[in-house]
Amino acid sequence: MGVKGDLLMHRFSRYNIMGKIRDSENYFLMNPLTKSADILAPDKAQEIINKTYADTDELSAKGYILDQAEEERLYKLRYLDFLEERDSNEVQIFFVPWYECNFSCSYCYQEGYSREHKPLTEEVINAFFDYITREFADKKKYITLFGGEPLLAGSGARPRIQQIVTQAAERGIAIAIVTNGYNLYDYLEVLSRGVIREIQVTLDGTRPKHDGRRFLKNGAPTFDRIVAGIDGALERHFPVNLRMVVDRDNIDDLPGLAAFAIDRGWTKNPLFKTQIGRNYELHRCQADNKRLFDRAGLYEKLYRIIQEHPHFLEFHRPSFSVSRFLFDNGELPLPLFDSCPGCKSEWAFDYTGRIYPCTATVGKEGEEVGSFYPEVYKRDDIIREWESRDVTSIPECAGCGMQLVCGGGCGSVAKNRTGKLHSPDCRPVQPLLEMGISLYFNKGKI
Amino acid sequence: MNTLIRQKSAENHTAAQCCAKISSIIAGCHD
Repeated sequence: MGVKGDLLMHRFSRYNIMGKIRDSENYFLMNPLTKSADILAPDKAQEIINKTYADTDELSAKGYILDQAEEERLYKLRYLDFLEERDSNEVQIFFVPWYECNFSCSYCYQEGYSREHKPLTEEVINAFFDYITREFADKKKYITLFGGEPLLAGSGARPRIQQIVTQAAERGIAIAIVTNGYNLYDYLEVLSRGVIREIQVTLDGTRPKHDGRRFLKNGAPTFDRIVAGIDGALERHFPVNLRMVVDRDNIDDLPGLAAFAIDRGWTKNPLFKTQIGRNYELHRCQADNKRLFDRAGLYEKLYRIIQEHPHFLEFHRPSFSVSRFLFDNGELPLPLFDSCPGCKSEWAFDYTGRIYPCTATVGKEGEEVGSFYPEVYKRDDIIREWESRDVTSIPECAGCGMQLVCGGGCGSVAKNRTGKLHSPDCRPVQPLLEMGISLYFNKGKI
Repeated sequence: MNTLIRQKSAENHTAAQCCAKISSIIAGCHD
């Protein structure tokens, strides 16, 4: 029986995602709910587009065609699995010891934040550890030092960072650090007293490009000291996650930075990994926003870079949505009902005693969800609103076939755009898959 | 149709693990 005759009971799943593979005549078909993924010849793809597919057995066996009630049952089951898995997730607890920074990056999203000038005291640090020990008693957890810049020079900063590292170690809690890397080398001794999970450092290109974007407040260059810090961290066997923040001004320098990292031996070190961060407008407009990529535009550019500079993949393998995951693991991840960790697996605390949902909101006035010092309280109504945000609570996601790969995006970005937390921050799932499947699956050759 | 799924009895990979591979500290979620 053809599809048309079968539609009363069975239909094409609403979660099917189909697209034409970039630089190929073939197509891909994917279903994140049933976890199927296939390459289609053009004639078969056309049959699906026209809903004239003659043989439904294979489509049914793979879950691309299924009974509506069965699809709803599967959706509910997967959602329960997702909630259960999220409940057992490790919690990432950010701590901001201060918002001061020694850098003056042109694109800093915290630049407009008001600063409350009071020093981080030992009392605040003790209150922080008391709170997280109590509040997250049954949770696996780690602390990420964030800023501003957590690794500042000077007699005010170092003893406090040391205190945090030591107290975390005493409780068996690992530490991650998000640093600009300028003082990393000088802090390695302090960090060696703790369990260091990861150090995230940013280089925005090779020396001239980086130094033109990420410089000290007095304009002095920073590249060489950061590189020394990365070398030193790797020598001490600390995992390093090198981040590049890119826009149109520096993206063409990425292959050069990749060659630098390869030549330096970083990419051969299993403790070294990379990520690409997009320069984008989180809370406010940037003066020169023509240089910014949207998400799909950035991946278009990365796709071209990889065609022209294959060595780039030795340095960084972009995710292209779930494409890289599918290639690496031979299967799709479980459906992503939620991509916002705020007040679920992520919390952010700062030196003022305030508690925020996540790194995007930490330090932003009006986004507090509680306090750990001097008073201890939680704003349960707001926390519940964050906790309940997922694709089942965002009205716009209900009719979207991409929802189980997109996950509804970032709550903070969505709220900034629409004024509502339960609104979507849509990800360009289909174009990224069209590029990623081509890249990781040999242009979709059958 | 040629499947992209490898025939193996692997444990389920979770969405969180997927995100963790994308970005271990920040940027995975708000971008």
